[in-house]
Amino acid sequence: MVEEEDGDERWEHKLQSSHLPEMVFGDSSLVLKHVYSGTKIYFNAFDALTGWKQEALPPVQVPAAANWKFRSKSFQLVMLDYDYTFTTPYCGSETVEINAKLGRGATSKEGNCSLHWEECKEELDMVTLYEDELADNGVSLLTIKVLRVDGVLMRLRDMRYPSDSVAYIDPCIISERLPVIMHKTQKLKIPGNL
Amino acid sequence: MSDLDRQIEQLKKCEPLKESEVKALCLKAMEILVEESNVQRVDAPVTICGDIHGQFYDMKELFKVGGDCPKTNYLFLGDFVDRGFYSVETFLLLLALKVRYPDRITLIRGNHESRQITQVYGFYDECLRKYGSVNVWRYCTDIFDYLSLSALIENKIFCVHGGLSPSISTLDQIRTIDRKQEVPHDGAMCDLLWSDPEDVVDGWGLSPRGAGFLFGGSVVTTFNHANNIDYICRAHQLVMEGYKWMFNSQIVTVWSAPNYCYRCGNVAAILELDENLDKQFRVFDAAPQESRGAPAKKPAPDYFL
Repeated sequence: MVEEEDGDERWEHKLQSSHLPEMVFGDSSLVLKHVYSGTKIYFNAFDALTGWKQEALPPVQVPAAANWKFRSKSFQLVMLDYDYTFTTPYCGSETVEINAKLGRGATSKEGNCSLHWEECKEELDMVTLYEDELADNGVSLLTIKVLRVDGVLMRLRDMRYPSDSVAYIDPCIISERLPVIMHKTQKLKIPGNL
Repeated sequence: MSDLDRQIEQLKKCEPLKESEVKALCLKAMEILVEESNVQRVDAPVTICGDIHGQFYDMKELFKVGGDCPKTNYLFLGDFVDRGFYSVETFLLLLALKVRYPDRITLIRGNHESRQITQVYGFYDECLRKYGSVNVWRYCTDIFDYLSLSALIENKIFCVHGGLSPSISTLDQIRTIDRKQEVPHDGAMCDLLWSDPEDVVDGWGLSPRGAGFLFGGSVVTTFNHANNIDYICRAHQLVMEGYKWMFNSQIVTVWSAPNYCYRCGNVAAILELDENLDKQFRVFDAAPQESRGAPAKKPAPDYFL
């Protein structure tokens, strides 16, 4: 969480927003480091929310909204219009450490096209950056997952009986049923290893 | 020892009751709750508690801090169920205490005390898992319809789960609501359980979702003045410090689920009022890991990204 004293207020000030997700794991981050070049990609809540603030999507309306519009015609009402789902285009922050040194597993042979993990002991790591339950109108989560595949042999047999109720709670399933609005692939070029 | 006392002892150990016992308990509770007003009168001294959300072992911490019922007089502001692992035991313990000591514990309804919401946020699944059928969920959700909508402490402190409604300007208007129904999607009863105070607006605001009212400082001032009350006490929203005053101490949010959802890291609070209505907030942490039962381990991660 945003832990320091008045942390919430500081973040609100820095982001110039009076609305933040219910749970912001401000001390959590996930860092991928290319040891040889010192290039780091890291994921953190503040930069993710900066992306949300900059993109400033219009709010999506829940199905009940039409009724409420009708009901609220009879008196003066301020309409809040920020993106309450905290959707962000964020795909990580980068830095380069100046004094990078050759590290374990980063020999030139292996190090050409893949990043190496220094501390990632588990095969899969997941970090939640922020979470909001949308005032009981659903849930919004920003999580970073890392799947470590080097030297791992996997056999996967997966059988699923999807039903609509499952689809609504499982982003893996629902994603297959949604139209693709945009597909973007980015290539990371690491200096000295091109 | 009576059956009821035995059941309370059992529930205090976080052991659920038999289905037939739940049915009988709910019938008795219904007889008591049906007599209560939509604005239930509560005498001081009293201890006010916010959301619990099925965090049974953290509720035991609450009772450690606040004292046992009936020695301490309690008012719970709703959201007993959903999200935590022990909604069944949590709600049944509170309900059993209500039946055993009806004048020493008041339970009012939160937006999660609803058929629709409990099917999404866990209580329905928990009942099905623990009993193998949805009967217990049916008994409990039928009881939810009888829970009062608000409370009034010594005519001075108005207590409600969510907040105010643009359709309500007096307490008498709340008293006329026919509450014995599922929480509706709009209207006064819905607003009382769902609305939130909001700094950004002064009068009434509409949430960016397009549904759900927000109310500002001047709305609270007008309501408190019209009904001759000192302040409003409500729950419904997570506050990291356990309680939070707004609008110049005209409304306070009390939140009683520490480390919400077992990962949020927040502290919880209860508000103790003595016979002169002097306030003391008691802040508490989540129960230590070793004192809680089995689950709490991380769920297995999804293997697809």
